[in-house]
Amino acid sequence: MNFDLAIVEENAGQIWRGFLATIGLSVVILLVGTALGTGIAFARESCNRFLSLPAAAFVNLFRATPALVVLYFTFYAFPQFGVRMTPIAAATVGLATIGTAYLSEDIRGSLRAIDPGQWRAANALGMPYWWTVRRIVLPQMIPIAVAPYITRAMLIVKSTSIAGIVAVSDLTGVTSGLVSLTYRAVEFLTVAATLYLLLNTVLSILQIWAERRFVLRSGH
Amino acid sequence: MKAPVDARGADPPTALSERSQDEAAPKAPHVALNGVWKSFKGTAVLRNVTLNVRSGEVVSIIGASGSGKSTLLKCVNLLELPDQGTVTIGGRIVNQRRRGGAVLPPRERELRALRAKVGIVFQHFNLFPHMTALANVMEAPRAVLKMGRSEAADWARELLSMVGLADRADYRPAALSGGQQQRVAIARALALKPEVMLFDEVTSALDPELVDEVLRVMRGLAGKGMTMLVVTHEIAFAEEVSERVVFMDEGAIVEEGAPRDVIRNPQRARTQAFLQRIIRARAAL
Repeated sequence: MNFDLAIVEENAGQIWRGFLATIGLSVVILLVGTALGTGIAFARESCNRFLSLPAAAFVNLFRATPALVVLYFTFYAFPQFGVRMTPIAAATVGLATIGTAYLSEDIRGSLRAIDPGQWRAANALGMPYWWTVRRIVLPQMIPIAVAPYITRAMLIVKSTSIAGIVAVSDLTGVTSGLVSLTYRAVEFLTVAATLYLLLNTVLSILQIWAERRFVLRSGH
Repeated sequence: MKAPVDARGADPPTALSERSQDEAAPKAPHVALNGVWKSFKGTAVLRNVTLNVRSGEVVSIIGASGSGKSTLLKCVNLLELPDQGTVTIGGRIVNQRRRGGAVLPPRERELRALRAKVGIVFQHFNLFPHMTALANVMEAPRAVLKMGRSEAADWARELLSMVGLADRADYRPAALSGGQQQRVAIARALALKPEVMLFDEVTSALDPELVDEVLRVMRGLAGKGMTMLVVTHEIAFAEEVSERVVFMDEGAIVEEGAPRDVIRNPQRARTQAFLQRIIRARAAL
């Protein structure tokens, strides 16, 4: 078997666009998932049942449903309700929903790891809730959350590979198309795997940096 | 009875000294609990507790574990809301508000304002581990009193100096001994310039050799005229510093009076039994 690098070079532009789509999709899912997941984690831990029950229902619904089914819903079923989205928008909504459910549990784990005495002390000092969250709780949560969060981020990056099923030209979608067209599976799959590895290596480096920065700073 | 100033003999802090001069004179009841009941899951933890503390007075509360001492303290700054009865601070009922004919619990912002007036220090120091000692003390003035960063830092340094920890301002709690952490916790509670300080068994989690440094700080505060309610097992300290000792058992005040009377010559059998147990436990150490 000979590895035909020329055919990869010929299609480099298309692969690059697919790679950028994967990066874009991953970044948006992570940003949305982190913001909403943090809110849902705090809501689930709230004493207010009007917050905790819907938050728990959301998490349990979407972590129990296969990502592909959610994706089919956003792409194929939503139009029946008059909601039509482009493939990339449908994939973003579907995967961000699943990602939010998982991320919120990782974030909730670090929230529960905070000594309740910290909340009690802040409360006894008359600190407002949001001040306590921002200045006392979040800085202690971040060092605990780094490892599970980055692991989840890697899973999310990999999960974008199913977006091709709803016609998104992400890295896997593009690769799959090129393999069907050229029958050069080894070349294109090797390139795709290498690019996913590259993305996740960046996340691994981010984890090392974040652990040094936050864990050392927090004194944990 | 009241000892002079400071843990390490440093100059007394300006703000607190001024306060003591200004406020030492009036002796009206500053903290008043009247017919306070509190239950947890159907078990009465406080039973019809009535207690008055004058401005500048130091009252020690003694009693066995589970007698309701800590709950009583938490009812003073409303970390626990009484089920019945009133809590009055500075002449104002703080645990109830009236709207129309209805009696409602206080609003969140009213609770926060009260907690700035009534400081509390816990057995477990609960310092913020990601902050230095200085930042721990600065945090509440910035959050609650809206003090600027540099003003809060100056004030925090003054307080750390008062508790003998000026040279530990940049240390994280993990790098401090238990006694030092508890002194930072006292400075942190004082940072809101409270009118009343509550101490909840603040030496119970400390190694015996570290207890005295914390008690020295508390003696200093008492000497400056701070109104203090102290839950403690340090009977000698209670006798030395307090103007009044209260003995609690099963959620009720069983006996109260001058330290010499309650500790040296208790009238009630339950007080006698408790003090006997304490003396025996100390002798066994």
